[in-house]
Amino acid sequence: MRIIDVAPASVMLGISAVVWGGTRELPYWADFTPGPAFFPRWIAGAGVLLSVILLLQAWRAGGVAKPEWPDKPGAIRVGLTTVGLILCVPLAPYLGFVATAVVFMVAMMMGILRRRLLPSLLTALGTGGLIYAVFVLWLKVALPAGPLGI
Amino acid sequence: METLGLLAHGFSTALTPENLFATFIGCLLGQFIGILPGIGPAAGIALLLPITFGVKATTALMMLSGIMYGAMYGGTLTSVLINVPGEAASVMTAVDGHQLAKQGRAGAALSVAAIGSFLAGIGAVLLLAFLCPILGDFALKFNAPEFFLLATLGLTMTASLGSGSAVKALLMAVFGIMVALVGTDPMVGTVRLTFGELELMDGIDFIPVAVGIFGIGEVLSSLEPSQADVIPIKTKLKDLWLTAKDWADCRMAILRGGVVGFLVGLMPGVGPVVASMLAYVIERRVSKHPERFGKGALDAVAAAESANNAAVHGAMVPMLALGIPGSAATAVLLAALVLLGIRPGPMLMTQQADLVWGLIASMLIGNIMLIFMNLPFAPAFAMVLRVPYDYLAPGILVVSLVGAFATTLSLFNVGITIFFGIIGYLMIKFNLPRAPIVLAIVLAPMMESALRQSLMLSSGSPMIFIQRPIAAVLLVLVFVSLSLPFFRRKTVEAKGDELDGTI
Repeated sequence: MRIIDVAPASVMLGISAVVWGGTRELPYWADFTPGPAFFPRWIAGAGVLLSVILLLQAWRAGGVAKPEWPDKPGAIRVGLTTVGLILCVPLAPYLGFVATAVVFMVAMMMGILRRRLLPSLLTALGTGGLIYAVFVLWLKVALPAGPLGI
Repeated sequence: METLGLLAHGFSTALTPENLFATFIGCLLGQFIGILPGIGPAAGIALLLPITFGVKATTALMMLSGIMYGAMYGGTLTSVLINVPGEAASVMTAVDGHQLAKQGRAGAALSVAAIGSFLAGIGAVLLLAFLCPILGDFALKFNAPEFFLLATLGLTMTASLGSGSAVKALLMAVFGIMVALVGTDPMVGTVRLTFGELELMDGIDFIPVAVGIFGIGEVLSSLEPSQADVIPIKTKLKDLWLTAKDWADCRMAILRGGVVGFLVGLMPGVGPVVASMLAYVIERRVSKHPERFGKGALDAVAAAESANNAAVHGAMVPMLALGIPGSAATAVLLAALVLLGIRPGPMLMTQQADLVWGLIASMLIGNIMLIFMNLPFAPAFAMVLRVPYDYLAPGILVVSLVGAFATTLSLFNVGITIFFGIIGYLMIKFNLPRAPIVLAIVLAPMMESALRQSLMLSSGSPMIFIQRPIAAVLLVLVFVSLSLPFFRRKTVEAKGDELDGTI
């Protein structure tokens, strides 16, 4: 089975169904003008049509085609980095955005990418300093600040 | 003559110290973004957009567009010196450029790429200056039906003329439109597809999607293989000098590449990647010694690099004259215009003449800056390549998150960025093109408004799209662009059958 085609087509079928279902309570036509559900339903219809065409193409082509997933070490690098990024969101209001960024970078360089301590610390602190200087001091962006004020 | 007068006025805007500095910074940042693998001009502009908040719109736009064409120059360095294209439009440069570097001719490759980019860039900007007013005047005849079909054409051409599966490209465009539908209806303000989430009432912002899909997704993909420290091939200043023979071999390639690149760049949704590939193929076809291509042909590098820089400038024509982005990077630029409070479209040329002509003049100045950066300072920029990617990747990720937060001061947007980063990574794995999504998100509000206004004008009759002559032509072009991939496949199958028959 051509997973590389079937999977995105199936996901898009689902999303199209969600768009259709999510707008079913809204008017399709309002007096003399298309309503808020008009465009979404046509787009959902286009999504269904294109998904079916892709599924048919996959069926006609036959064979097996899978995505090129990374090897185990690669998958761990990608997975842990993603988890680290996700954790930045709840941590930022408590630690501060810049502090969280520095912690993330150190953890990524030393823990995930296995780089040496000193260059990792210098890079993380340097980048954190640059972010603070540009976004907080220069652009006055109100990044969440933590106990250290950054 | 009027155009020359307007361009002269544009120079008076572009040559102020503030705008000169902004153009220089944009070109410099673009150069670095082109050098860095894992981040291209579209993501670079999206990431750096927050640093333009608080400056004048003209200045901001000069800087952001400098990033866009600067990246074309920067991408050459990695392609030639380490055989890793810094951004997608430099793929063809790597084919022959790195071979030249291995033969001890890295300097010549870098030099011809820089000169070709410069000449083609200057030519493209001058053509842009003359073409924009003509197209802009023509576009004043456009109304809602024409705008709807033009936006649709932009998306269908992205699918049919891009590389890869046309069905997948269209499907991703549809996905992009669905993302843009979240929030409030543009005409009556009804909330839709928010599923009760208050944060989604303002819709899904364009910047987190672009940064996520192009920035974070690309970096995650780059983390898969273990990155060995790369040693770039060394170049010296004296190696950058081109011989008379080199120049004689390459000048027509630069001209052809520039013309092809500009024409391809004009087409909405196509972009510099296709331009450089097409220029390479054409150059090989017209060459007296096509067997050299792939083994270190200097004219191949000249053609590809001239084409990609010309295409980037060509893509500005539909963006400035019609409000339709010509590429992913111009889609981000268009979104930046909206964020800066400027309404893109045919009226832009008349209502914001200072901005448009100042921008065009700044592009001429920017190309001059870049040739000076690239010719004598190429070895200095090449030193950036010695920094292991493992030290750059975390910084790129963190700047992505900060940039996403800075646009709306919302951690929810940071979450959206990470979510689309995962989506972008999966799209790379499943060979799903990403450019159609950002084009669709930018075009969707205009498409929906234009479609509904058209049907309102015609009291619900779709015949309005046939009765108006320009709309009818655009409709035909939409169908032609949708059927192109089908005919292309049939041609490939027929050629395959012919070959089978001759064996």
